[in-house]
Amino acid sequence: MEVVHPRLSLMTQSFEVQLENCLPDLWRYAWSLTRDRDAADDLVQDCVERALRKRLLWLPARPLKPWLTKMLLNLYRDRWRRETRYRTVDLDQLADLAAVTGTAEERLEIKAIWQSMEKIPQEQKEALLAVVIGGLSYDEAAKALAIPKGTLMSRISRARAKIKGDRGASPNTKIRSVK
Amino acid sequence: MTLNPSLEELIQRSVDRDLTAEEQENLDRQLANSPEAAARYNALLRQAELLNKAVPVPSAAHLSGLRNRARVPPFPALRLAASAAVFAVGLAVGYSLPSDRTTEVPDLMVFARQALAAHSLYVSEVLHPVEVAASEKDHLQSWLSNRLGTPIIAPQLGETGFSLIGGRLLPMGDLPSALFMYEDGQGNRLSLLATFGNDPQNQSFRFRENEGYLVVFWQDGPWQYSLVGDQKRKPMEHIARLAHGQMI
Repeated sequence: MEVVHPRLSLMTQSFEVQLENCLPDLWRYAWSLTRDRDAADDLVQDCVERALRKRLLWLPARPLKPWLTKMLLNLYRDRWRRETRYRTVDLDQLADLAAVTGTAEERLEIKAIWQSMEKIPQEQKEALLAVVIGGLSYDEAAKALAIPKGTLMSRISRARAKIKGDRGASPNTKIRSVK
Repeated sequence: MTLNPSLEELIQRSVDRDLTAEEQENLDRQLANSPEAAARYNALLRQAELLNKAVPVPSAAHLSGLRNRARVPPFPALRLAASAAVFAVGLAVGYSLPSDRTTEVPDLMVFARQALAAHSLYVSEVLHPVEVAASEKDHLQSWLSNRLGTPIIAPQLGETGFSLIGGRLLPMGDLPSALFMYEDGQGNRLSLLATFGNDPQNQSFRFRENEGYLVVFWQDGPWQYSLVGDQKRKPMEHIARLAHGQMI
């Protein structure tokens, strides 16, 4: 019987199919970086345009997602530098959004998490969100961010520690503060 | 330090869905013996869940709207499929591509021939292979950008062993063309030519061998490119890809 390597299924997926499959995660990653629906729309649309233009450079045997995420990040960073409006945060809007599904307590928790995200260095935030929201594996995220896997993992770990640390009152922090 | 670093790593990787079933079992065993670590693990899982909860999920219709609004490069779907197929086989068929008249672009072919002529003319020049030397790279780039009417940069091919010698301006039909020449440690030379202002087309890499030189040529929108040299096909394709990546 012929054994088909699981990776082959990815290789046979066309550019268009892979592109379509990537879009939900790409959009959510863009949103998590900007917290703005319009900005996420713009970033994804521009990213798709760039991908179509640069399509010559894509090797069919390679997964498309890290490549697309890298382009999205480049677009985002360019704009981030130029436009300060991305830096304004509407956390109340965020809490409203979560209210659709969550309890009041959960809403506060979500708000606290995203609030502490504001204080995390950009490079750590990009790494954490690429994996948690962007749905990338460590290898894919390392490729998209053009950093070694070890660096990626330590950025994610540092980002998480800061989110926890900021919540302050959690019992874990108390235990850890006892030497 | 009360924390076992390998446990920390297992926790992180588990939250990020990076563990094998075996590793996960190993982690579960360790967590069963350490309520403190288990609490930390659960807190991280919860954190990831809450992060995700705050991020909206776009509808499929919304996404396909974005996808469709993205400007598609101006070339027909048929040709797109053809160029994708050409890439998929990596042009493994060799230099003798079947001459498919429907996908042949006469202009691009002419350009490739002129590029070859320019390269073979200047490659043997010891003293004046270029008009402006690489030592004046900024000047070279701004001069050629002015003459072409659009920004152009000389790609860096350092990783391939080739470095820029300089460049010159050439006529290609009625369009100005930029030529960049590169040289490696053995004195092998490469020419990269680019013209701007052609009818927009997209053409995947094509190869022609002539007079002992290999020409790689392709078109991206209004840009036509040719890379000419006496390297083998694989390195030439790699260099072309590298150059193209930097020029768009």
